[in-house]
Amino acid sequence: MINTNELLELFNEIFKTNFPSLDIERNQVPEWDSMKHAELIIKIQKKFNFKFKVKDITYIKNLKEIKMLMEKSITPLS
Amino acid sequence: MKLTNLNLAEILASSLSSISEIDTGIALSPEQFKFAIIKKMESHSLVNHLNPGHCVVLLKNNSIEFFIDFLALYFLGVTVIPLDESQHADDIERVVLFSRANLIIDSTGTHKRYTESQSELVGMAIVLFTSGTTGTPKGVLISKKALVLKLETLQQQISSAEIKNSLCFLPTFFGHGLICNSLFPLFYAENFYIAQKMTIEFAGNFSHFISDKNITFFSSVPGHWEFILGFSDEIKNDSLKRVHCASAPLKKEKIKHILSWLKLVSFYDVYGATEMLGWFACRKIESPTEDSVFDQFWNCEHKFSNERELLIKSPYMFSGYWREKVSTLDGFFETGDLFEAHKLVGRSKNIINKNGIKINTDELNSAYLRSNILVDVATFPIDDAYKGEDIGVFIVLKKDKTIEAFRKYCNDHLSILHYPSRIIPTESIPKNSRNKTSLALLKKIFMDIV
Repeated sequence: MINTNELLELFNEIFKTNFPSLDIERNQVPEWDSMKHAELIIKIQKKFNFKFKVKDITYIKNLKEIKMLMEKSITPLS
Repeated sequence: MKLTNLNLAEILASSLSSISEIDTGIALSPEQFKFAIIKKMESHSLVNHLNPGHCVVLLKNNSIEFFIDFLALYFLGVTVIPLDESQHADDIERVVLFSRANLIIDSTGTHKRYTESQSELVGMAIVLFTSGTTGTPKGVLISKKALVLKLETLQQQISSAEIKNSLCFLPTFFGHGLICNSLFPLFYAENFYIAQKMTIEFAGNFSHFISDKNITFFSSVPGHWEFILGFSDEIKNDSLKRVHCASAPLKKEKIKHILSWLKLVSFYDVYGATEMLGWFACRKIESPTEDSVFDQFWNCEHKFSNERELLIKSPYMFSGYWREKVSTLDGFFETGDLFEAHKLVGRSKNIINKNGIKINTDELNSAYLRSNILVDVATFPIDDAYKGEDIGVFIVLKKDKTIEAFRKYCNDHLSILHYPSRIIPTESIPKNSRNKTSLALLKKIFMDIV
């Protein structure tokens, strides 16, 4: 299971926001452009020590999807 | 090889073996490409009645269609104004009005606007608009003569073996992507590949693409390397000969990772300006260092002002800013960058360098004030590991106005490029002891707050 608080804390740190839950849609956050999305994914991979499949992360629309993907298809780094 | 307008067309057909769009898979042979350009020239001349002195806003970024239209217009002597198709419609319209564009070409078709020609555009190949689209547009005039000289200069610096299979994922509405990483390989490379932009998906396949197509050259900005290092496997073969990174300084740690990824490929930190049609100096990076000491200057004369600002002069430089009187200092372009012994140490102009794109803070301030939500405003650069710099802004709100209203205005009216990353409401804009606003002071106060 992925620690929701840690994920949320990382998101808020990157975007300088104060969202209280994972109910965050990409279109709610104007700064969540492709560059910031890459930064978010890279930092999540580093923090939680795993790697997303590229095809899974391109069209992510919200933070809950990220958590679901992480819990469904974790590929541990060797 | 000496270029003239006439043999540009011959060179186009002789050196190029293919032009390909990565995102769609569309590829043209040189004969197909040349035929398409000729057909487009007929259409623009006979149907749209375009002649020297006319100008066209061209919006089909990073596509074969873009280059077909661009070259057709170029060979007709019509001035091309490439703009970012994704920017806000208000910004595009501001440029159309300023330039009195005769035609707008976008993905939906061609749209006629003004009919008159403008004598100051005769002989001008391109007008590149800097961040001035947020306020009064600022157009950098590039003559055909300068463009040809620039391409010749690049050919003297970068070998045909290095340029052979070139890839561009930089935007074609800026000099770096258009002139240096697209037109230059179109005229001198054998195979040219164009991508819309660097994305996570593209980065995920990057090393495989480099191997499959035997790519020898590409240019980049620091932000691209977050994608490449974050999502790409290591490169597989040894086709890559030369890689550039431009438009913003690189951190030492980042250089270390880039060199590790590139292995033995020659890696250059290149320095340029829109007004100089792109790269005019470089340094080869062989070890991780943040000393931006540029030791190679390409066909240009340089000197430093008393304030250590780099001044540049070259036969391939711009012809001035459109409808502005003074553009240079005794023929030297003032770069706005401060140097100590050829080492880049800072900036004298009010510029935010966001992902390699230089944005003028005065023009941003004007754009934000147009919201009618603010009494006063001051933008400043925020360090960002991915973008280089991002936009911070101190705002003084009008009575009964809110930050949310300002955010909504920015969201509705400004491009994502101009959207402020951090908004700090304040009673009054911080000033220094001389009662002036300075970027350094604003940045310091911001850092103290966070």
